[in-house]
Amino acid sequence: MNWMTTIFYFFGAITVLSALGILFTRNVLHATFLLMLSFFSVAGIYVLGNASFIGVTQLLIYVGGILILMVFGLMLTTKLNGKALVTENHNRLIGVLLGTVFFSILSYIIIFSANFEMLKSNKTLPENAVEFIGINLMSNYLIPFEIAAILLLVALIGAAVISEKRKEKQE
Amino acid sequence: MITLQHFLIIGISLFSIGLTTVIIKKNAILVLLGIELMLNGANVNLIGFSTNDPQIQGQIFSLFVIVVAAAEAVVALAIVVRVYQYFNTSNVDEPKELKG
Amino acid sequence: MEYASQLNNQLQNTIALLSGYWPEFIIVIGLVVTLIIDLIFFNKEKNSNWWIGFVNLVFLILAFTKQVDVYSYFSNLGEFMKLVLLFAGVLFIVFSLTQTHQTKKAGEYYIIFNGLLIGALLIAKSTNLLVIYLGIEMMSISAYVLSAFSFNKNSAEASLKYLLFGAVSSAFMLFGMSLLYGFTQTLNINDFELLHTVKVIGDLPIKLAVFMTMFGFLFKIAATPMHIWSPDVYEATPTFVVAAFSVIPKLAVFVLLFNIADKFLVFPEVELLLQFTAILSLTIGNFAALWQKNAKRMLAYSSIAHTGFLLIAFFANMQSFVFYGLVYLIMNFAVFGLVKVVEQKFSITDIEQYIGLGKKIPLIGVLFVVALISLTGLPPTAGFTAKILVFSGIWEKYLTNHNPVYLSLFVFGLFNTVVSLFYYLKIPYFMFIKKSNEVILNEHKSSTVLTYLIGSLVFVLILCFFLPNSLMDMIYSINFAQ
Repeated sequence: MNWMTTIFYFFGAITVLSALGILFTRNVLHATFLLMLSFFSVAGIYVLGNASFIGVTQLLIYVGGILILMVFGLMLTTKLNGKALVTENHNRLIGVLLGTVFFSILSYIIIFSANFEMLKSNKTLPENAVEFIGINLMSNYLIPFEIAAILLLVALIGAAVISEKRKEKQE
Repeated sequence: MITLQHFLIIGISLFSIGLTTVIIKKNAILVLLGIELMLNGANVNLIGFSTNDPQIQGQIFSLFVIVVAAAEAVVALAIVVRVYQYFNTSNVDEPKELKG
Repeated sequence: MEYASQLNNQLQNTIALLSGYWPEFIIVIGLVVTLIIDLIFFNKEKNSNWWIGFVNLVFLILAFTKQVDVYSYFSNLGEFMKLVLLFAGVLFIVFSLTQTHQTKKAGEYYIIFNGLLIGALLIAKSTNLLVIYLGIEMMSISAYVLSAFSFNKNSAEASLKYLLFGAVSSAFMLFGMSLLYGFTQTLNINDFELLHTVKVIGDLPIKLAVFMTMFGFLFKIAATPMHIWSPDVYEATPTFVVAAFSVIPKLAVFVLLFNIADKFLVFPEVELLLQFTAILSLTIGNFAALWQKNAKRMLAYSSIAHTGFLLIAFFANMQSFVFYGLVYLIMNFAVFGLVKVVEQKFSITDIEQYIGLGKKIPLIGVLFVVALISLTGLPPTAGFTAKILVFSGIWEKYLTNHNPVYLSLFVFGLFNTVVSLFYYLKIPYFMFIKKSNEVILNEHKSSTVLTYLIGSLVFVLILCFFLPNSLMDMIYSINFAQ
């Protein structure tokens, strides 16, 4: 076991354990912070998988953007009265059952019954992944790139129009 | 050496935990957190698979997934805030105006 | 410097590819122009709503004419259905233009609708997993926003439910796509060699990946196990938006199913899943519709049942699907337009309140009857012709390969047509036949232009029954070999 694998196990353990923590905690804010921890170590996993650019993006957008947004959302949708924000669970049995069944089926099918030996290629990965991604985004992936831009514009306008306070009296 | 299976098992775990979160949590924002976990599970898969791909298409795909997740989260939070203004709750099972 | 020349090649390829995207490009320009007009004139100009709608209409018609050009180059199913989708977009905007004084937030309304349309066009065109994913997400995110556009309690609840279900189903689809990418090492569906991959990887994993991807697609067409969101959303959303919802995403995803069919349907299990979904959607949609009191809710279940019919048409042949899809588009817009007229005139949407309306507004009553007869699939309307085409297609399929599943599709389809008669004719029954004490309803002005528009749509429905040839010729001119 070399040091890469050790670090991978370390990050993997943090990812899965903190994700499990979200299931068990009742405090909403704790859940958000646990998710932050989980996503942080997912970024570590990306870096170990030769995807350092995606790792940095994960940190910037997920940890720095989406989760902060979630915390804001929490503040806007709860009455702050000094008590901890707790949430209740429902459908506990079905949820846990479905989750375990899914986990076992997926891991049985994908990990144990699939044969990945043939997938291994001897071709080398691009040395400078950031440069490769940058050039590709502007050439081969130009259309998806533009679509993403329009998607963001539509989402921005949509979110603004939904959350805007309207002046007229609501029914 | 980190094998592909290592990535996949983490992806599958994140996906299943996310699914469970979506089903059992009442608070809409926690449900959204669960959905983000599911998307991350798929992303870890993509990164894992792209370690075998000289074109690293998986990495580029996952970049777009992150962008879409951000857009979806923004719209989702706007809707949750709106629901809170009408129903004074952010639990998913309490608004019950529509039936049939 | 071989890298530079390679890059040059890539760029040339990309630019060559871009010429096929003109219609989408024009819609994007329209979107941006709308945004600017809205920013400048919002609340300043009295007729700003009308102008914004008009500008959008102009851009959509431009995109439509451009698409006619594109279609003349590549006359395949995808490009033809893009024409149909753009036609639906034009109809939607024309319908909305008759209601300008009522449209809330007109600028954003049209912008987000354009987003929905671009997503649908991309899905109908592409066979790249990444573009399909982005298109579906663009369509879904716009749909979540549009379903909140009544700005009241109900629509907030409906859009929350829609969003949560939709996001979970997209997550499933994405997971399936990630596996498909991993097993095949490519994002382009045309390069998939799934049967070859089965030999390399194994049987179960590939099927799992295909199933999970299909799950996401089936959600978007509101096929039965994934239909729970649709009645709530249809009830609470502005009526014209519902008309667009029931047509545009559905047809787009069906075209996607056609585009990927020869790659994914190599597995008999996937075929069986789709056939089972067809039967389930038909049965559950029709039987649940029998108990509905709200007209929009009833039409939601009816559109779930029509998903089943479209799936049967998918298995019959492409021509019958295209014909059914076109007729479905026209009759759905007509019937939702009529619901809107009644809603506007008397502010009612419950079927029982329609009592005696046939005498008060005979024209609308008659239009309602024809549109609903067409939805049921009875003569003398195009709905009948469409159903005949579907049923004869599936019967031929049965005769050629004697697969009992085709027979059961045929039988269930016929049986459900009979069932659907009961709830569709409930509206004419209340309007014309059932006697009641005079209920005094407040009458408001409604748009006469809208009524004439619907009248012309209904006229087309009747015309297509008597003269289906021109439409059929057009459909047979599509190059189905792709």
